[in-house]
Amino acid sequence: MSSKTIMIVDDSATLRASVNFVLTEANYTVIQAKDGLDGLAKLRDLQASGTKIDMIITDINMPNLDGIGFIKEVKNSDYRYVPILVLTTEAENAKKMEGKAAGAAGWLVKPFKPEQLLWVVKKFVR
Amino acid sequence: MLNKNGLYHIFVEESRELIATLENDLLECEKDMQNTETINRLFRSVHTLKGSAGMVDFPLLSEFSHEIENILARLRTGDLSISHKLVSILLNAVDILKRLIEQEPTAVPEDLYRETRNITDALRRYRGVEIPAEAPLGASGKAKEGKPETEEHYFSIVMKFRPDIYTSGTDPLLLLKDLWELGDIIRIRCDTNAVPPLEVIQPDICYLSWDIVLRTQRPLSAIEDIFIFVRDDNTIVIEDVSSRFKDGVDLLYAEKKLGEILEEEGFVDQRDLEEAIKEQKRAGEILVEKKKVASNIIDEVLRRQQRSKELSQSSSIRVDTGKLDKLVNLVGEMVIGVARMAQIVQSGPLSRNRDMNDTLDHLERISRDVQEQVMRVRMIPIEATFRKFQRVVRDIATELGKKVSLHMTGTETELDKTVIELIDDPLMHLIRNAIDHGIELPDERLKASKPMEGSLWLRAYHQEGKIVLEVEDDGRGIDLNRVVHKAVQMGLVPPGSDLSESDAYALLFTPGFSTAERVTELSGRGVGLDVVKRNIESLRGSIEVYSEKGTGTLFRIKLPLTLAIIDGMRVAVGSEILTIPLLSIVEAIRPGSGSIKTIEGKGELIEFRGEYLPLIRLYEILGFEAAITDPEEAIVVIIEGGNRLLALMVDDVIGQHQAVIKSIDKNFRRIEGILGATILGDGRVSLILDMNGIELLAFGKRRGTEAAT
Repeated sequence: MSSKTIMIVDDSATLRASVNFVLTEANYTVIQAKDGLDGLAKLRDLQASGTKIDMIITDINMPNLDGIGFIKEVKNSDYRYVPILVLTTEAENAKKMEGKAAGAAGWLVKPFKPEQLLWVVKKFVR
Repeated sequence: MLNKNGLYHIFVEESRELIATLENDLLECEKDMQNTETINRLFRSVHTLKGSAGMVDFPLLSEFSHEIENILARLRTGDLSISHKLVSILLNAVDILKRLIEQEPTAVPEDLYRETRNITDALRRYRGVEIPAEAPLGASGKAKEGKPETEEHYFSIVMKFRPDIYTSGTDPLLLLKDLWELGDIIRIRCDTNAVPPLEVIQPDICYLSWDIVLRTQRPLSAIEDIFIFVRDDNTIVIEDVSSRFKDGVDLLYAEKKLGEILEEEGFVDQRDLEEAIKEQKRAGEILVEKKKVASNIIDEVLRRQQRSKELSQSSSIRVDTGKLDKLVNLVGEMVIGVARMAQIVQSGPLSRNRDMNDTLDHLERISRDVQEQVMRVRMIPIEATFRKFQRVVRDIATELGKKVSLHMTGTETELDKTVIELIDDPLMHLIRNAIDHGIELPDERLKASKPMEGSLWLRAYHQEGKIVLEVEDDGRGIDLNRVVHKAVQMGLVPPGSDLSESDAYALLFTPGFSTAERVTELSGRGVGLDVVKRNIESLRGSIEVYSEKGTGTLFRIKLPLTLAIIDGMRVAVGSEILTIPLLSIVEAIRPGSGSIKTIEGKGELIEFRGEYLPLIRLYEILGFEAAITDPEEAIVVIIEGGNRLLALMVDDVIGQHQAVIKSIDKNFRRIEGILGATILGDGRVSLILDMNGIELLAFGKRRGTEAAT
């Protein structure tokens, strides 16, 4: 069985590392991007190499291109059907709704526990 | 391969960088206080630091960052502005961050903890937050908000999804799982009726919808959270139905049929149910078989039942009256616009073009129809108002020891909603009066050989484009001699005056007038018929009274069909065009020579059908420049004033038109004698005269004595 590929877009190295740590342990392939622009660049690379992507997890508040802008771009690309999960700091609806409006399929509140992350990922990636 | 320690190492590295950026940006900020980009960057750095601290489980650092973020968020929105003092506090906070980051999350020294707290307090004070005596920081992780919910709720959840829901990355199944985690799904029904035959089924279309009852201890918001991503584009109805459930039993089941319940609970589907019902014999069929009733009667009754269902189901929507008012006004403008266009066409070369005239005719007709329909939307039956009085009549009669039965006719008569609301008080007053002063006590009635029980009639009907409301009783009637006597006592009329019947009745509506010998609990408290009259006049209506001593009294209120439009007569006074409400016009005459008399102290009078009416020179009381000042050359319009006929002198009568009333009160201020304004076909403004106000304007407030001519 080939492993599923998940992209994490976050400006926090700590967060990227922890997502990478948890998901790699669970046998997923993780691609890291440090902001929205980087995420779009990595997506173009993937497309060039013909790699399928199964899910994107993105922060909202990032420099260069923030999460909302990033989601909008993805929704306009060939990757529009990839489920996108937004990371929010508190369980605040404003952020969730912003992400939702842009086209996100779900959210996860930071900080989260490894099992919470795995549980959400399993919901979207089967 | 990363491990926990490796992760923490990355965190420390990253945080050091972030804190360094933070420090730089703060210093930058102090140099250039207007730079929003710097503030944005500050915010992002702290935000990221907070998130990272959360990931490595360093609550003290995470919460301290949160306090800093709070301040920066306010700077960003402009609720706070940057100052040297604030930069100093923030720099102190950065120093704390630097020291914290070098500690083990679980082993922060006591003195550093205390300093962190002190700076936190300073930050909070800067935000204007009251500092509680001892609020532990970072000790408890996340504080629980509010008390835990322990009560059980029942929620009804209906989920109907867009067919393309799957393409948005959402799977209804996941939502169902989420719901299931919140509590017990005690009822679930999946509607599969929309699923097409296999050969046309499309795998990426959602054909299903659900109907769920969930029992949970969680609040409504927890359920709403599940649907937050799908609520806008899909039909998700969540309803707290806890009151419907008692001991876990749905109280609605009492009224439902077995088949319905089985279907609702998902034990049988609709098709099964319909088949079963078809096999069931109807009561009618059984009765026909047993020859108790003929089949054609059953058919007839069923047909009537069907009709009844259709009628009772006539659908309706609620609309904000503000929207209706706007519509009424706009339609009015449209009618004016069309009229203006017609005027332009008729005075130009197009006037002989038949197509043009036909089209205009058509347009005028249609716009009037639209106007009428829109008006009708505002109309509601008076029934509810009338019904309300049943209780009032009963209560008042009981209190006074009288027996009264209320009869109502024309309850289906429709009135403008505003009128209905405003007519309530006047009607109430008249009804109280009728029972209190009109209807006699049972003994008295028997002596007068009347039935012991008095009667009170409330009637509503249409007459000559007006709505008429009547309040009539079969009581003792009004004693005109007493009215006049009282009026003399009060100094309203000179002693020995010979008043006509209508003038005497008019006295009843004079402020402060009351013939009641004793002041009862109900009426005779100084709020008299004058208030009723004023209220009705404010609705552009009129009130009349007819009475016969010993037999009864009738109050008749006449109201316009609508308050938005008035049928008016355009008259010219100098360069102005005024509008007189058509309903108050009796006649327009050209006075013959010698028909005008001047009487000392009473002004000018004009003879009209054997009566002398006061002549009002409109240009005089309104302060206009008139073209004609000799009454014998002018036109005199006879109108119904408040209580009597008046003669208004104008230059010319131009013609009839329908006027959409524009309020002057709302746009300017109230002007005595002016009801409002309207826009004429040529775009000019025409003031609409208020007949009651005109009388006041002309004669001041001495109306009572003036009446004795």
